[in-house]
Amino acid sequence: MVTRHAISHVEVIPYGIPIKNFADAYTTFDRSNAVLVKIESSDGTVGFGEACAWEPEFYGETLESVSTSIARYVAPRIIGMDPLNIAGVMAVVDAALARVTCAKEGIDLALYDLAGKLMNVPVCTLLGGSFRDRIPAASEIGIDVPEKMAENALRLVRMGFRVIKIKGSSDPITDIERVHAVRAAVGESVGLRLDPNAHWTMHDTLTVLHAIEDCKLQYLEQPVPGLDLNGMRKVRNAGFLPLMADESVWTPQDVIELARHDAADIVNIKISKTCGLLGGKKVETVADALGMPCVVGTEIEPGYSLMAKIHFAASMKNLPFACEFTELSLLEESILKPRVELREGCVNVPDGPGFGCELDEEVLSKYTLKPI
Amino acid sequence: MKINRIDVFQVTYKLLDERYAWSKGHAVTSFLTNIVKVSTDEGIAGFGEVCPLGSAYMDAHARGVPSGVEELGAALIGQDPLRIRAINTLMDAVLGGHNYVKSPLDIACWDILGKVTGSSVATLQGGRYVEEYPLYRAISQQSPADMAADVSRYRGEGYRRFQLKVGGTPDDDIKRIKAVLKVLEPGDVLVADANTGWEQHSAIRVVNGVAEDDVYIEAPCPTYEECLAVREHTRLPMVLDEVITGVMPFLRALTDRAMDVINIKISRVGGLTKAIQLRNLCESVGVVMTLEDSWGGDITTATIAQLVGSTRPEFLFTSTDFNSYIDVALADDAPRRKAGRLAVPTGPGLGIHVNEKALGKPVVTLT
Repeated sequence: MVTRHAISHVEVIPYGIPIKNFADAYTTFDRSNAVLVKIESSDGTVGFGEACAWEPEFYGETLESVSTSIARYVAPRIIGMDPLNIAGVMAVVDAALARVTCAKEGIDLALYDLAGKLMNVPVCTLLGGSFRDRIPAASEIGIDVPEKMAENALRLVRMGFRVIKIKGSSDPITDIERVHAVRAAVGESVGLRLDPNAHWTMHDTLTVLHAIEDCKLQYLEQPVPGLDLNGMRKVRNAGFLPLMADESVWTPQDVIELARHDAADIVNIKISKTCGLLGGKKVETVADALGMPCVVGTEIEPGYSLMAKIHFAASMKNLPFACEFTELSLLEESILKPRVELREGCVNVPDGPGFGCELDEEVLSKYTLKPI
Repeated sequence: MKINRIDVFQVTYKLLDERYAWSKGHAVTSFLTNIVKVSTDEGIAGFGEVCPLGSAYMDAHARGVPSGVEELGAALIGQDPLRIRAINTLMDAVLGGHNYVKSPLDIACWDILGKVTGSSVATLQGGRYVEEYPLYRAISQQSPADMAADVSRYRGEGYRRFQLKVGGTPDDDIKRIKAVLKVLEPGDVLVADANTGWEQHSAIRVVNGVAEDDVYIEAPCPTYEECLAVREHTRLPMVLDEVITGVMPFLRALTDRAMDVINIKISRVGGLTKAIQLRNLCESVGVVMTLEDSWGGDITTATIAQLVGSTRPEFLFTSTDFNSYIDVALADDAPRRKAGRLAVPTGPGLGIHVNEKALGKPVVTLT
């Protein structure tokens, strides 16, 4: 006899954990904001999800908008639905609100955590099973003067990271100095990547690539705007480095368009872009079929979205590059028990039910923001 | 949890309608099906089925299954059946192609996962959208009058969607389509399925001959390129089936706007895991699907039902109940057609209890 469950309660808790100062091409920030999403089933089991809300410049969503989207427009429509029907619940969410990928991420993640707990299996088992028990981890260094970025890169190496992503800026000439400074500091054995977050022109990109050819990067990420697939193709065809798409990829259709335009070699999947894990698996399926490896990207996730990222990476068939866990080098505290740690350049995949962690109520209450 | 034993059973199904004929003179009167049981060290076992439609329909034949499973068995024994995608990757690494051999093994792993979690396979795929769904009936190739009579008979049993087996000569097939259209009612759906039996010029003659009629054209020619050429000559909606062997061919067809509907056969794409990937992709990019397999009995029918149950209903074009075409029941609680519709089983795994006594002795046992 199969027990029927129903969603009995949905709650949003906005919070923000302080982080070490970090700058990318969009903005500078010192706190990772997110909305904790709590979904309770009729039997009292609780699933936790988390919606990214720290970078409206990238996503167009804020703490206020995410909280309101979920509490006012989503929750009333999904109360009473079977939480194990994740696709069915997400279809109702999609029908209620267009886009808002971060808000949907929060719902999706909470449903997966809840389903894993109700079925007594880790979330990665619900995603098709794990391919690995440890995920190689990369971190990032934010934009600063070249000398300071070199220092920060060394700090990451001392923490145990073997792969580092360098954030590029809207000043590509200084970016050239930054890359050289970091490479000189960390030596040849550390993998380096470069990501100007779509803030360069085609001309800038080719200038930089020519000037840093001797720095032997793993790949260049999204130099030109997300919609400029012809620009991406030209950069790729220049043949300097493998090219990763990030701002260009939100849906499975986007991956197909990239392939049609020969516009990327690698795909950056962020579960806050794909509305969570269900959408993320669809993007991965298409990329896998098209022979494009994926990297699970970072959103400086402060809590449950970090856990979701680990389970997602564990379930990916092809994972030739380290995934991004920048938050491990930036967050000052964690709402998770146990806290995720870097071990020999990797993070371990938990094997407990759901995401395999517990909420640290004390830390959460310390950083809970005023209800919206 | 570890796989500690794999058994393959073979059972013969006899057709209740005596004969099933399709394109190019192919016909069967019975099927040899393969039931695969995957057992674990924790005492939980799962079942999967693959039942090729003779040996000429796909690159699959029933007697190939036991030897294919033997080829895979050594690698699978000792593996965790809950790591289903990793199991698929392993099978692809050990044995090239042979999707139909891998399919029942993959399905059995899903059945185990469902039993471990106490959830139906539909729930494990993201959840159930529907409790039941409408079925189509495949109409064996005969004279136009006999096919029209069969459609009328099956209409009386509740079916409203019909897949007409054509793929003969263009003149005969045009007559078949028009004869059947006369006995249909508004709201009925007719698919003329050539099962790749037409040459390109013949297919174009047929689509021109029924250009003003309300009919879907399925799988007109053997190659994708020929199907695409036919598509360019007709305004009739097109279903692609045999040429869609996985995600890559699908993406190519999507890019070419080569079809309106695809037919996903679970064993042709290599099992439930790959069928789910393709199904999810179709939902994402807006392509409607027929969800089914090459043939089968209670286990296949339950497997299809779990896939259909977790599919957004607006993306389901048709599906069928293979267990109603044959004379053998292997599970008392298997879903059975009622008024042209089938219920999605709700129990753990595939949601059925296989009567192991009816399977006989295994033809292959691996430990």
